[in-house]
Formats: sequence, C-alpha cells, structure tokens
Amino acid sequence: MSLIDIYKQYFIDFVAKNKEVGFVEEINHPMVYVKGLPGASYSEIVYFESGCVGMVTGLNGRYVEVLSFTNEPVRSGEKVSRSGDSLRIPVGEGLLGQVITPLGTSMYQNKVITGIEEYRGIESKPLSINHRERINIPLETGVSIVDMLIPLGKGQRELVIGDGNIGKTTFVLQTILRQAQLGTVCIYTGIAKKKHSIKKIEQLFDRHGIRENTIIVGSASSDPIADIYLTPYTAMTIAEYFRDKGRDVLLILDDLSAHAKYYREISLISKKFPGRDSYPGDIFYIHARLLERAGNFNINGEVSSITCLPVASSIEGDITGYIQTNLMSITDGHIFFDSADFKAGKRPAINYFLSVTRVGRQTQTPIRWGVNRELSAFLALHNKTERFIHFGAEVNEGIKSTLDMGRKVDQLFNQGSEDIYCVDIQIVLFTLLWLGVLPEEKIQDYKVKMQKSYDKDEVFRKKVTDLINSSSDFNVLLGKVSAVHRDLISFIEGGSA
Amino acid sequence: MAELRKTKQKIKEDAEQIVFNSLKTKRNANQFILLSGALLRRSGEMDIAKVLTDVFGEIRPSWMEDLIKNVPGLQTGILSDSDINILKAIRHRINDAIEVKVDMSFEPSEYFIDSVINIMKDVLKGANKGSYNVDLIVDVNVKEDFEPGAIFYVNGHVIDLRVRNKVINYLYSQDVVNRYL
Repeated sequence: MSLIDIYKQYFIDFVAKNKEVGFVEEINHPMVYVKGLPGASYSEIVYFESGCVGMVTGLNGRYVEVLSFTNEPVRSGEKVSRSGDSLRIPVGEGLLGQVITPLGTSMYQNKVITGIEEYRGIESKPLSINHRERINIPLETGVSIVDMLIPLGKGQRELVIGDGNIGKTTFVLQTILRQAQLGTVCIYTGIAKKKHSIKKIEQLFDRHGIRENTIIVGSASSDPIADIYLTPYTAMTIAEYFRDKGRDVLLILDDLSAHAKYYREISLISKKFPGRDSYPGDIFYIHARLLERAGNFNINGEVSSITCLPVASSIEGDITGYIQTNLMSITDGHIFFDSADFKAGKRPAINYFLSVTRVGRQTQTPIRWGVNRELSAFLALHNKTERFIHFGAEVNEGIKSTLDMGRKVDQLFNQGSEDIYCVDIQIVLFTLLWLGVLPEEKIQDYKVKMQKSYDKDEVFRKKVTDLINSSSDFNVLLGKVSAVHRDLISFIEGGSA
Repeated sequence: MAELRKTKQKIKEDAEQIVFNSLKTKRNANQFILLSGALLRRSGEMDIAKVLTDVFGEIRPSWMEDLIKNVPGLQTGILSDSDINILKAIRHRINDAIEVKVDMSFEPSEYFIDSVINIMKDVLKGANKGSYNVDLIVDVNVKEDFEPGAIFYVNGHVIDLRVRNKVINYLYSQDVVNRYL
C-alpha cells in the first residue's frame, strides 16, 4: 500500500469519525483555502480526498488556510477531512543511524524504520524554568580555536555565522565527530540542502564509524516548502525525545537563514503582510520558539542537555542582517567565520575578535581558564603588533618574538576538515608551545602524532591526563610540563613515554 | 413619498426573493451569474432574445420565466436602475448563500431539491435560533457508481444517509443478531 493510498484511507476514516468535511475553494500552491471544516484548529493535520496531506496554518471567518505537504497539485472542489490532531512524528532509539525526512520517514525509498517507541507532536512547549539547570559542563568541539578561546557548554545555543563556503558546515561536522565519539546523540539537520550534500555527510559519518550516535534530518531544496519549513522542528522533537531519555544531544541546524527564506515564501504566498526585507512579522517568533526548546535540563533529578548550533549565512561578511541579528539575540553567543581569514589561509577561518560565548566560559576548569586568559591576552597583543608593523615600524626583538609566537599559535589552530583534537591534547600542545619548546615547522606533525598516541596508547593517555588533573591551574601545569617536556617530545617523535 | 419608496423597496425585495427561490441548484445559480454578467456588461437598448441565445443556446432554463416576470427590463429590452439593482442583489445573495452539497447516484427530482432546501432551512434556522435568514443553494453531485442513499454536506458537517449505513446502524442499535438469530 503506497503512502497516498494510506492517506486516502485516512481521509475516509476521519470523515466517518469527525463527521466534518471541507471543500477546496482556492489554491495558491502550497497554500490551499478550504471552505467547511467548522471544528478545525491551528496546526491540525488535514487529509485530502486525493491522498495529499496538509496542516492548518490559519483560520478566518470564511476559509481554513492549509499548508500542503505534497508537490502534487490539489484540485479545486476536492474534499478535505480533519484529523483532530497536530502533526506527530515517530521517535525512538531506532532513529539512530537513520537519514529521515521532516515527516519522520526514511529518506531512502521503501525503507522502514524499526524501533519506534512513540509519536510526538512537533510543536511542543519549551520546558519551564523549574526544569532548567545552569550550564556547567563543557562541550568539546575538537576544534582547537573554539575549545581554547570560544568555549561552549552543554545546553548552550551558539550561532555559527559567516559567508557561504568558508567552513561553517565543516566546523559543525567536526563538532559532531568529537561529540559522537564521546557518546552524545548528534542530530544534523540539513535545511533545503542538496541531496548529494546530505549523502556526503552520511558517508562522512560512516567513514568515522559514528553512525550509531547520529541522526540526519534532511530536506532537499526540491522538497515541498512545507517539508523544508518543518525540518528544524522535527529535529528538535527528536532531540527532546533523547533528552527525556537522559541523554545529551547536540543539534545542528544548517541553516536557519535558508529556513527563514522558505518561511518568507510561505508567508508571502499566504498574503501575510511583509515587513523588513519582506519577512513576515512572526519571523523572530518562529526561531525563538524553536531555540527556546534547547538548553540544559533537569528532568526528574537527571540532568540532560540539548546543545544547539544553528548556522546562519551572511553576505559579504555582513552580520547586521535582519535574520542574523535576530538569531544573535536569541542565542548565547556566536562564532564568526571571516572570509578575510579564509582567504589568508586560516582553517577554520574563525575570527576570535568578532565571536562571542556568553555561557561557555563558566564551564571551564581553572587550567582551561588559564589557557584562555593567556591566549586572549596574547592574541590581542599580536593583533595590535600586526597592525603596528603594517606601517613599516622597526621590528625589534620583542615584536619579532610576538610575531613568531603568533605564527605558532596560527599553526596550532590550523586543522584539516576531518581532524579533531581532544581538549587534553590541545592543552598539552599549547603548554609546550608556550614554553617555547615546539619548533614551528613541527607543530602540525606533533598534533597528529599526539592525538594518535592519545587514542591508541593507554600509557600516554594516562600520562597526559595525570599531568593535567594533578595541576591546580595553568601556571602549575606549565611547571610540570616544563619538567617532563623532553619525555613528551621524545615520545611524540617515536620514542617511549 | 416615503410610502412610495417603501413600496418600491418591497417590490424589489419580493422580486429578488422569487427569482432567488427559483434558482435552487448550483447549476442554475451559475447560469444566472453568467446571464446577469452578460446583461450588466451591456448598456442602453438590447436584443434580449439574442443575449439569451448567446448565453444558453436554444434551450432556455426553467427559472428564466420567473426572472423575466420580475425584471421588467427583460421584457422591454432596456434595463432600468431598479432592474440592475435586482440582478446585483441576487448575485450577492448567491455569493453569500450556504451551499448544500449532495452526493447521490441519480439526478434528483425538483420535489427532492425543494424538500432538501426546506428541511435544511429549518435545521439551520433552529441552529441559529431563528434569527438568521438562510439562503441555500443545492449542489448535486451525481456519481453513477454511488451506493443507494445520499450524503449531505452542510456548513462543513457530513450527514451520511446511505442505506447501507442506516441498515448497519439499525442492526447494531437493535442488537438484531442476538435477539433474532
């Protein structure tokens, strides 16, 4: 039985059950205006006689406004029945490892998802303040510049913003790679993406063996607009399911500026009054009500979180756009990807000076706090020095050493698109760098080798964690690493620890 | 003067009511919209017979008789302001009328349609506590493979009067199986 046949049967069943019917009066695809259905309510699902399905998005004295979920045209005069229920999607452990559509079905044709435990409405109320917890656990992204300078916490909502094709998706995927390794449920939401881009991400997860901790919720740009609009809400509903099971969730929404554009299209078609940049008046609300569902929660004494990283595209580095500023005000900070840094060869091209983290720093240990403080102060100095020598000033020893260290820090932060480093390795590497014992040309090599040793060698891992755990702050760590740095370097270069 | 105005108004309303009542079905209402549109687009003296032939061909619908009787301009060939007002008012009433859709397997008789309108008017007046002047238009959808009986759709509500359903309901409600078999 095809899905259309199932929906046709639903139509018949709901007419018999509710004894109500409407008739299609006007169609502005995807908006359909229906006369009748006296009991219809907002966000209720309706079924068309032809097997199409839609959702009530507006009610006025004369018509029920329905958003159609299908690309097939609805016919004028067609009968419509209401279900009496809002849109629900199937959720359960069976979703892990799957690639699903916004309606909760597999993106692969004829694939049935097993392990479904319940059906949840996609529009749920955010949990109240008595279920909220202070954000106090750090979230590792595996990206050095973020973990060291713009730290994130579990339950934080951090906007990832920047021009197109300069590494925003790469960064969020690196974060997924790291978090999935740590056992977090990671949900990647591709809003109006190309199908082959979604396939590529799926293959990336397969390659790194993290499929079992990830879910991809995707809508292609060729999908019905209604599906694209629903995509982030479906992903958030799945995230809430795993949060209620006591698991930490990382939710990526890639990207919300595209989502806003599709919502604008729907609003203009449904004749809502356009506002700034032709966006409707409730554009802030649709994103605020979505992101308010993320956070750090305490459910029946168990703490679990939904960390949300929404992505937003900017045009020519302009972060003062309508949607961008809306999202900035909703989230707890933003990571700004700078096209100038990208052109200068920095990977990831994150501009530390224009990035903000509002709650991430409170999750840091004293050592990470120390690293952050030292690095921030140094980068400010380095930036000032670079601007100073730009005017052809004489380069003395002090300036030279600042510039040298700046290049080394850049080397430390540079990493490939699939490289991820755990925080312990980042701290030890930075300490070695700060001590001046790491030669610039070997930083990249050492990073990779140290991470490999940390992953595979139990002894080395213990040595590194002991070193960090036994230090009360960064200065103590500096002293301890200074004492053992020869051992560490000889190990990295192929010796023994 | 005021008395005369009142009488004119009454005549207009009566004419409106008679013509509207003669329409009854959606098919007739659509024909009326077509004809009145053609008439309202013209001005001055016109050849009514030619207009009617243009719109309907040789076979005139039955409700034309009432229309011609109550809109004097259709006899003289010159539509007065009062005639135009009557046509416009009827068009307006058609737009605002409640549509009663009926699915059934055969073309119903005039008597059936009259009965449907009268019963539905009573039901809707009852539902609105009698304070609501209800205009109804019946839209019959004939499906040859439809089972015996009919389904009515009024104001979004479904009234399923198919014989099969009635029989099943009877069998269940009277507990026929346990009582007689």
